[in-house]
Amino acid sequence: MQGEESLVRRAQQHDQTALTRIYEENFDKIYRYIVLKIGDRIEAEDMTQQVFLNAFKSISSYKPKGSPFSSWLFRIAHNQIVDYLRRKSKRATVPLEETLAGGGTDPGLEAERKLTIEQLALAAKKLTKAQQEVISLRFAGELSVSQVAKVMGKSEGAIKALQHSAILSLRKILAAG
Amino acid sequence: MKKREFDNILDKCLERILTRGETIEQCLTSYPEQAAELEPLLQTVLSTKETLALKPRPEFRDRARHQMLMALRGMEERRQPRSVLFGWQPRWATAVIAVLILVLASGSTVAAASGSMPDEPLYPVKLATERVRLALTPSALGKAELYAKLADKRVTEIIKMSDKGKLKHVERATQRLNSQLTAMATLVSPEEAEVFTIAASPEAIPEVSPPPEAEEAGEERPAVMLAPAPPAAQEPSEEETEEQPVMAQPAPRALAPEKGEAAVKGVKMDRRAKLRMIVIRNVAKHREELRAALERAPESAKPALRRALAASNAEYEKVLDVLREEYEQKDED
Repeated sequence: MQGEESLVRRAQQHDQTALTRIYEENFDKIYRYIVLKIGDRIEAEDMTQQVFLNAFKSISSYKPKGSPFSSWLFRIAHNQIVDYLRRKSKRATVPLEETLAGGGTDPGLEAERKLTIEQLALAAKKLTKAQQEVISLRFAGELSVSQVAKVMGKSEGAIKALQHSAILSLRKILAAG
Repeated sequence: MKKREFDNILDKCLERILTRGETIEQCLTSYPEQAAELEPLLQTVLSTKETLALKPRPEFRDRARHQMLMALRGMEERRQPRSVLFGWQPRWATAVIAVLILVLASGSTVAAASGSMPDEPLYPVKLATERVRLALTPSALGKAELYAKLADKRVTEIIKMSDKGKLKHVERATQRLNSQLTAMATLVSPEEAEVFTIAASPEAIPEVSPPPEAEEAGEERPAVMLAPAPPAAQEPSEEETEEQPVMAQPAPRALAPEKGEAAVKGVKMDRRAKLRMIVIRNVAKHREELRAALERAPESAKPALRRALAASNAEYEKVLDVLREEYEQKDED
């Protein structure tokens, strides 16, 4: 945590080495978090880039409050996803299955994986908002329970309970196909 | 068994499997009574994790990283206080002032400013002059050479400021050194051409010589196509609408006749080799000077100097990597 604090302080002074390190350490996690939430790999790439641009533009306003810096990034990503989904819902509705078909560079791998990603994104949509958030932060964002608790403003006990119920529901939804 | 207790066991198992790499079976052995209930849940998480083992496309990741560095460099340059000379004038006025500065450079304030240090009143003039020189240097390689010279100045400033115990100035000079070395690495990077190809109109792309009219007229074009604008809640501030940093846009060049291509390529390669020599010399010189400064510096100044040393080592490494690749390619040719 000490190391992260000094890294963030340097980043706040626009030290490019520090900014680059933050970017490298978090890019894939934020990307996976967004993919799971929106189910569109290509769109998720652009949104991930935008998350970092927005974060770095306003990094001087960041104040550490005992939670890891990445939780701030996830919050920015979350707000961006909410905006995206709101804008998308105003446009003509594209079935999630169609959206999910886009993206990916290796057609073979994509074909093999597509169904699972599709199932997962669709199944996650059927969870409650809080369950979705726990699954996204825990398994896509790779945050610990205590970090998720700080991001979501809940106790660790509450997050563990949500984690349990989310996995259970996810299993049932996936099994029902 | 209480639900809370089971929640804790499930979480312990997840930690063991996801962070320590243990298997489901190992975990179930530790909790035989809960094994039947735990197993399907752990299986679900494992398959979720497998599905989520996604990465952005490598070509996107590289491009995004490059664009991010360009944007960050732009932010850094905008953040630095601008000289009053360049704060508000229209572009034609900036160009006129630039020419005046160069004309008057022999015996005036500018000459005096060229040796000024960050804690001196003329320092902003020095930075402004450097920006002008960058703006008036048309080629990417020329800019890179200039950045090598500027890096030398930044190191001198870091050392002088450290000797005076002015740590804030040490930090600021280190940041400038950092961004200038990053800029140099970007300018000599083969990726640069690709990014400009994306940004520029097709006819403005390739090789050699006289800058097009738009460039002569001082028109600037965005160096890179950044991702879409941020959402309304995070509107860009006024300063984000400012011009792109000078070095982000090597002058687009007109197409060279095929006949001259090899010669032009040879000249370019020679300049690269020369730049590489300058950089190698700088690396050794700067390392030695910074280490000497570190030895004599008071304890309070040492962390800042160590950061400067580490940052310059890391950034120089990147520049040399790019130039090394180019050099090796030349050998292969």
